[in-house]
Amino acid sequence: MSREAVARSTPILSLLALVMMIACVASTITDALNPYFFTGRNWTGAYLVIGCMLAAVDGWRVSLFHFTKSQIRWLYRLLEIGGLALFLLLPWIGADLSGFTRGVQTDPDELAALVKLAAWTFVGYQMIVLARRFALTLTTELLMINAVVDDPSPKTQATVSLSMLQRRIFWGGVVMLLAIAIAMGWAYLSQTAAALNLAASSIAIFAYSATGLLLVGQAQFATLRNSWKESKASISFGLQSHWLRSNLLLILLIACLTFALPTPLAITPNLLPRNDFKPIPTSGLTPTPTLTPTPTPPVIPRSTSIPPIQKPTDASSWKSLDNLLGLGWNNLALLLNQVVANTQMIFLLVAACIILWMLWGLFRKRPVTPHPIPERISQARPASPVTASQSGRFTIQRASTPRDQVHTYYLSLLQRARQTGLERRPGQTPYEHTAQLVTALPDSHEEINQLTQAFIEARYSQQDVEIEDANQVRTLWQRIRTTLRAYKQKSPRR
Amino acid sequence: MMYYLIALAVLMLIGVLLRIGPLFNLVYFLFAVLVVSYFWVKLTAQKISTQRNMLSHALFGEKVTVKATILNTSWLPIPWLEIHESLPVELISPANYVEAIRLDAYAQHELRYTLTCQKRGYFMIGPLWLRTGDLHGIQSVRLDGTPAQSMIVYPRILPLGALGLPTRSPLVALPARHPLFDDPARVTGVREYQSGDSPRRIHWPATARTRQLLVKQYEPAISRDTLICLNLNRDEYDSDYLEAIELGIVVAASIATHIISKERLGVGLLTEGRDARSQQQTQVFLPPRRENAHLMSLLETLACMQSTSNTRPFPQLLRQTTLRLGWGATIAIITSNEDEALFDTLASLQRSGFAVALILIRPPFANDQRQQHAVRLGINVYRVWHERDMEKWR
Repeated sequence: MSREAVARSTPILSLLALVMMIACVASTITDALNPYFFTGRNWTGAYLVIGCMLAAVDGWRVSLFHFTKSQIRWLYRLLEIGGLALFLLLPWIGADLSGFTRGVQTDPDELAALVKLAAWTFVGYQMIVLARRFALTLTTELLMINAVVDDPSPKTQATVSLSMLQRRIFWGGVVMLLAIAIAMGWAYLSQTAAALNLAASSIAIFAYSATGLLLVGQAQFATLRNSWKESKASISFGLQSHWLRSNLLLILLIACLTFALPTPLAITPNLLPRNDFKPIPTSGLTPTPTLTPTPTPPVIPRSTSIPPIQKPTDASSWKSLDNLLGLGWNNLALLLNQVVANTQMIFLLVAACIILWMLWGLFRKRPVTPHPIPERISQARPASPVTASQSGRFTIQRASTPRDQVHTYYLSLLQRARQTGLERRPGQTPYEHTAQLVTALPDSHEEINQLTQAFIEARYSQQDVEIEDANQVRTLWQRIRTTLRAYKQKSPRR
Repeated sequence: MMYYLIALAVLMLIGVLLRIGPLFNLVYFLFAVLVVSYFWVKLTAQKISTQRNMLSHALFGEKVTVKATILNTSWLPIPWLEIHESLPVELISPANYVEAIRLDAYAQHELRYTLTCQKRGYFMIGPLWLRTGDLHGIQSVRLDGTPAQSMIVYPRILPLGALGLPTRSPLVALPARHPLFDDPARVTGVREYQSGDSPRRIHWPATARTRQLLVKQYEPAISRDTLICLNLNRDEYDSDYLEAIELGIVVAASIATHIISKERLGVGLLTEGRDARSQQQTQVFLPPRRENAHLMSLLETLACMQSTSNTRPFPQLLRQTTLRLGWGATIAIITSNEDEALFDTLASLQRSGFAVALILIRPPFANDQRQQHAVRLGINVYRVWHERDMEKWR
């Protein structure tokens, strides 16, 4: 693979991450239409977007670092300045998340608020660093894979181990997801504003996991391609682009379908006490007509601590345990409503999938033979693609084989000869008819003999007819046709 | 896949314990990817069929095109498919055919390669096996495609007639000294009846005319069959026994083809070696016949025979097997060493009424005493070091 190809492929991976982040932004904007929208919610979504974009930009930056052309150095510097500014903004982000900047921090305990500020700053920093490292590792390793493919020397092979890369991708993704989960869970249990940002976080996790899986799929292709190169296998043309397209389509379809499924915790928000937010004034915002405003959750005083989990002691213990898991019978009606709502979404998604599938079928390369071939391929003669139209002209269908083309040219010769007056009599063999033609057209006796011989071989022998043979027969037929025209002009009565 | 499931279970557990809704979505997502990958591979792997079309026999020097067809009868496309075909290194290099393709739904892929038959033998083409999997490396399966098929490459056949040899093979032109059999189709005359004559030989018209018993006299007949005795015991060859034995097989195939196709006479084969088809040491005795099918069978046997060791001595094999041969037949012996035991056997065969021709393949040295011994016995001795030596073979 050339360096230009590497330069093209790595930004593509980064762009895919950017596409995911755009979806995240769209989701955050959708959340903003909620009349009970919390001020910091869209900001948090934006933070996640920025963090993920940074990861993508890092990947891009690596590619720029490896291919430092003078035309794009200014972009590289700009991105560096943007990353530095984002890091300088981290304390402000933490303050925003802990409620200081929005004025919703009503807790008189300043020390607790400062702790939350420090915690969120730390969590945000860690998330961004993890994203940077993840993206850096991926892009660097992918570049090294390309280097191995380009230069399969033992030294390079020793430097890069593809299995190590796969393990690193997998465990890197797992560690990153676990870190995000633990940080969010910790924030959730500590009754911070993160409890309201689960939807945005869910999208972010989807973006991360989908991007990660996409990269894993591409790394899998790189692994296979390397092994194929080592074994000197011929790789089918278009396999790489087909792989990327299938990978992208599959992940998008599955992500859309699974996103529509209800989660137990998503339908039981009231089980969790919150006291650090309040609804904003709805002036200027029009509630969505289809949404029914839910009553404001009761504000639990800060001094009220989370009720400890009671161990089940009686016969209804399963109910308490079920409540703990978020699947209590009290929420069954809510669950059903949610399922109905999600079912509508699933229908929409299925329709979208069908459209995507149709688009896929529209653009994919269709096979030459769309139906199963007979069991004995060698002995089964395909249906002749040579058809005679109403005017008696023989035409070649689009998917005809060289053998059928030879048949067609010979049949065209018979047809043109019949029009000229040299009709083949019933029971006359090709050789006998050839003798008749040669007598009438002595100038083209060689062409007629060769064409007849080619037809005999194509019709009655098992030998393969190559495309070159068909082209040669076409040339012969064109010469004979010219002679036949001249013969017809000489004898207009016929 | 087990690690994948364990990781999902751990994620689910964390989601339950910490009440993190997005983790549920994540588990759904990853589990769906797992399930889709698993069933995709399983459904498509069952619907792949393969077929190989090739010739089972080929002439030396012929180029054989092998076509294999891989067909996807499933409605699901196959994202990637790795095709492996094991090939004999004697016929093609490298000794395998590997290709990576994708197959759309109900699509077929045809791979073809050409084998150059530059070595006689019994070769296995294949087996053809496939490997496919999902896009993320979660599952990969290996499928057994078409099993291995055998291909027999006949030994090289040199056109003896075209090289200036007489039209009739010298091996069958040897005179018969002791006629024992008569040809009832060729009557030379009559004689008086003697006691012991078969009544079937009585010439009844002549007996009626002369009023005395007369019997027919026939022309003497000899067996004009040829038995080619090929020594494949590598212990009786020199260090370069491989090339010498290959040359001997070429000589045997050329003689057999010449006699059957040009002279229309019967040819048999006697040899003992390792049969590549059964992978066992076998003694082959094909009685002399002159049909073309017999010639193909003989050439096929020559193609599949390999050298061996620790067999019984070649003279002993000759003595035991030629008992089944008709009187007056020609025995063409192809070996390397000319020792006393061999000459004793040849003399014995000569005395038994067989016409003997000795063809020495790359003999170690020329022994004048042995040559004189052969001349005294009336044995034609031919020495072949290279294939071009057959041009002088008259």
